[in-house]
Amino acid sequence: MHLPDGVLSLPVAAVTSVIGAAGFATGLYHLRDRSRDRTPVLMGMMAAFVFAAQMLNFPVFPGVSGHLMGGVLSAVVLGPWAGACVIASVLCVQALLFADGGLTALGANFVNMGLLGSVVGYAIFAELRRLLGGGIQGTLVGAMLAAWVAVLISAGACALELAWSNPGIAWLPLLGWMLLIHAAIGVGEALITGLILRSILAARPDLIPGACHAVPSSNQIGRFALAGMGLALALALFAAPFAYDAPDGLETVVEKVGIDYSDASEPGSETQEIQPTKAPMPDYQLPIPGLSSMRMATAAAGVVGTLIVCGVAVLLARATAGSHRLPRPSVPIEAGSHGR
Amino acid sequence: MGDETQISAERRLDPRWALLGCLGFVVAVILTPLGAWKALGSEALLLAFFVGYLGVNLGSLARRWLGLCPLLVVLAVLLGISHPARAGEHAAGFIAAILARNGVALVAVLALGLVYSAVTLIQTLRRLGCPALVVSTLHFMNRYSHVLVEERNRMLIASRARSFGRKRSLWARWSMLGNLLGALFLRAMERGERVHTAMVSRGWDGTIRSLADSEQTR
Repeated sequence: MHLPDGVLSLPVAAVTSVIGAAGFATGLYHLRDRSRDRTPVLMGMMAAFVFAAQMLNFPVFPGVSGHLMGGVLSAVVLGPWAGACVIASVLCVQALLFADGGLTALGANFVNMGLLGSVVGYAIFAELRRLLGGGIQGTLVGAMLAAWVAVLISAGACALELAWSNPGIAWLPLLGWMLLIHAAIGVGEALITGLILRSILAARPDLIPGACHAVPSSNQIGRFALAGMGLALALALFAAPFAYDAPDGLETVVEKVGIDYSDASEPGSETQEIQPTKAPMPDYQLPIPGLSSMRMATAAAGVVGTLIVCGVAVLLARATAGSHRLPRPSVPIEAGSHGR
Repeated sequence: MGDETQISAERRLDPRWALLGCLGFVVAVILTPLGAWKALGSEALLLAFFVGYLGVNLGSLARRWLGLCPLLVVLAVLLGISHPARAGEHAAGFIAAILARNGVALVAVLALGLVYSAVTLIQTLRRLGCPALVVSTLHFMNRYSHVLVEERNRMLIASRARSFGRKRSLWARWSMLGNLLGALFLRAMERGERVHTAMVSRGWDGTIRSLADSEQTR
């Protein structure tokens, strides 16, 4: 997902750089009082950790592997803006020293992975944790779901930037494919985030601000269901653009795959009149069931992914909370003074 | 690569100019319209001059460039195919143009990373006005990423030694990876806390100083 140089057109690169710089300045403003405590050290350590962890690929499914992106993880541990700055540092080092991600695309990459991945991801996490009643379970489930959604949002933004810089490109299939592929990668990101957080919560829950304050909640399962429903709804809204112009994007996919859509290539006016009566729902009449509708596929991927992440998160949370009592931190945590 | 190359390169061209020049060069390359081969050729010549002038190790430059090439090809082919205006017989030329343009930009950035050390580039960012918090984060990251990568490799070897290279199920691999990364994370954070305590006891006030800084500002 690291965009290289030359893929984005200059206006897009300029606009995303301005947005990225503004977001970065906001982050620095939020962190202005914390350059003398241990925040910069922990941020550097977190950046080094993300950097080291990104070289370990995990199997998503045979043939495709992903790696940790770490936006939500670092935001959960250090706070949203510090998390975004960690991502900015990682991107900076990767672009300058390894040419992984372009110099002119640095702004776009920071918007996608830092601002959307970390700050927006943290907002989702905080809301979910509040809904789930806080504590170890709420932290774990909230972070995993947020990690999954954040990957999808970043991928969507990436696709839109690509589409905007290449006018005339078939942007709907591009968005659809990006979301489909990243739905799988996002499940991997959520799993790895959850597994790392499980280790942290079991050994040092004081490292994660807010994890020790369990808000008593009467009906845990109801809250899980509520959060899942809300997320599914949000996803449906997120996938809603597919409803517009769906046949358009569809045709392009079909062309790409190489199926002769209209057997008799008649003049446009005639086909336009005939088709609606002949095929009221052309989406469902294509020979390949898997490609029949990008919208359906993406929505299905969204629902399935949400269910998988939700289920694994609940299982992990049960296991973690069951094996471990909530410890009280003896030392006040200075790194935990973020949040507003 | 090596310290001598880096020191002589720093003497030949101030890293500030190199960094800004590299950014300007990449922007210029991207602004070059696709298919303007003469303009791209002269830009490539300019780049070749600086690569020779700064004494970039051509072998490692080529190795890294080739390592990043597959990604470039995939992107160029994707863009070339899905572009409706350039579909058909022009697709090959379009893909070649994208490849050439991105390849030149890539060489420039790779050469920058090869000629100047990470510490030099981070100090250059500081001298160009990058905020102190970011610079210190970058310093810590640069310092400890090597430590953490080695630690991670030791943990991988240890886990392999314990399991005698047994084939694992998918879930076992996942949970092993998760536990490994979790342990690595805890070690990183605890090291960070120790380092911070040690630095505070030595009078750290939030800025990172180095001998090179005082030499350059003189």
